[in-house]
Amino acid sequence: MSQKYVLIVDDDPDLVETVAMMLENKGFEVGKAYDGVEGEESVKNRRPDALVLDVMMPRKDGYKLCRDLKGNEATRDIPIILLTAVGEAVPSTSYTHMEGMSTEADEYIPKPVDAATLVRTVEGFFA
Amino acid sequence: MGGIRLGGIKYLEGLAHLAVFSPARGILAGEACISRLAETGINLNLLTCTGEAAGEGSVVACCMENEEGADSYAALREESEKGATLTLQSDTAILSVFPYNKRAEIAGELLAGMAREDVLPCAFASSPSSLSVVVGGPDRGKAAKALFHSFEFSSYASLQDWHAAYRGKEHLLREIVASYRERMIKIYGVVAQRDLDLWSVPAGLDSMAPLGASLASLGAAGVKLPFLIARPWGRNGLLFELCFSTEDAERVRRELEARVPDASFLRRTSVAAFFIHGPHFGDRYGIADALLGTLRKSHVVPLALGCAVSSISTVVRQEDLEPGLQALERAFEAPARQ
Repeated sequence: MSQKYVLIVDDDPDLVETVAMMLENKGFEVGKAYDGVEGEESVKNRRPDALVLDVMMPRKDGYKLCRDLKGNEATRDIPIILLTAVGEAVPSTSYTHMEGMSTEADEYIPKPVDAATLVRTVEGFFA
Repeated sequence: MGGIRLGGIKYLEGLAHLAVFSPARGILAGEACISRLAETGINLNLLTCTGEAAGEGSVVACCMENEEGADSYAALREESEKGATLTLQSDTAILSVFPYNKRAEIAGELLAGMAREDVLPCAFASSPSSLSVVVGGPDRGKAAKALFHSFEFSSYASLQDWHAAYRGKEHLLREIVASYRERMIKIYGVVAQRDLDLWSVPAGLDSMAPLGASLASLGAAGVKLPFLIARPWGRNGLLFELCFSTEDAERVRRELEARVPDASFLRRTSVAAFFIHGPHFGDRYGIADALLGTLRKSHVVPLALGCAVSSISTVVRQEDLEPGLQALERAFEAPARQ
């Protein structure tokens, strides 16, 4: 099976680095983008096999990017994991885990992210 | 424009910078300060701790929200009864660039840029993936100019662009201050690095450019800089604590002697570092306190500590690395070690 390419889009560089390390250790090739617009451009330049997408990002947030990708026939079938805020514990946030459920992402993982769960979820897309 | 190309920046303003200079030696002498801040529920945005260097005692320096600066000062005032000196500066800002990936040339360019604009920062701190600088309020504009001159960001051509991207979302930068308390603090992971040296290099404003040039030159030669902190030193300087691989020691020494000949640097060999990757430092209070308490119980004495963005970087004696990592496994919930 050819090496799968996963794009991580998150403005937390330490999270990006951690997840990238774990995915690379599992044999994935990893791309990184640090906001939604950069992520969108990255998808246009090179189609990922899966996408890990943070919600709270500048320029274009993860919800908008997820909706746009799922609404586009060319990118609709790219599996997307959305990293959402912990809705119950952070009631003042505009972004909640429940709101994320409406954007047709394939999986939702609340923050703080369990990196091992994230890696297993990515692997599950290709099982 | 046309500097080193990076992925992004983070900018936090409206912060207070508090430093505690204690005659007591050893970082764990500063643990009491950090515990007291945690007890008061004060969330820190940046923290550096040094044990002893250049004949001085220990120094704890940290950033918190402006409105918590006075409370923090009050919480630590009794340290002055033990001979400590406290300084508090309001309206500071933290500028962070990423990805850093231990690239010494990025640190070098950041130092050189600040020196070019005549900015003496309050502090520097690295995380595994980013590099942060703390500057006083009046220096924010010059620091931002230095940043955008030294580096090229794919998404922003100026700090105004960055502000525009966050317009209407400013609350997001602070809104994830967590209100939850896990039974065991979760971290994304721990990465350890052995066979390092810890270099203490004092630098006034006039030495920052040559020190920056040293780091840039070392970076160009492929030398990595996995740990960097700097805290106030004397009236007009910073004390840098830098880790390089032991195998690079001779090259580092030659660079420093050639470009910063007046610097009286110290080198401590046989050290190691571990890097706790997020998520929580900067997100809620008590994370650094939890780490130091855990290490103290395991009789592991940190030599230097830097907390920036969402991660914690700790330098220990090489023989303390394994006990330190085992202590982390008992105190934090983490995936398997890298």
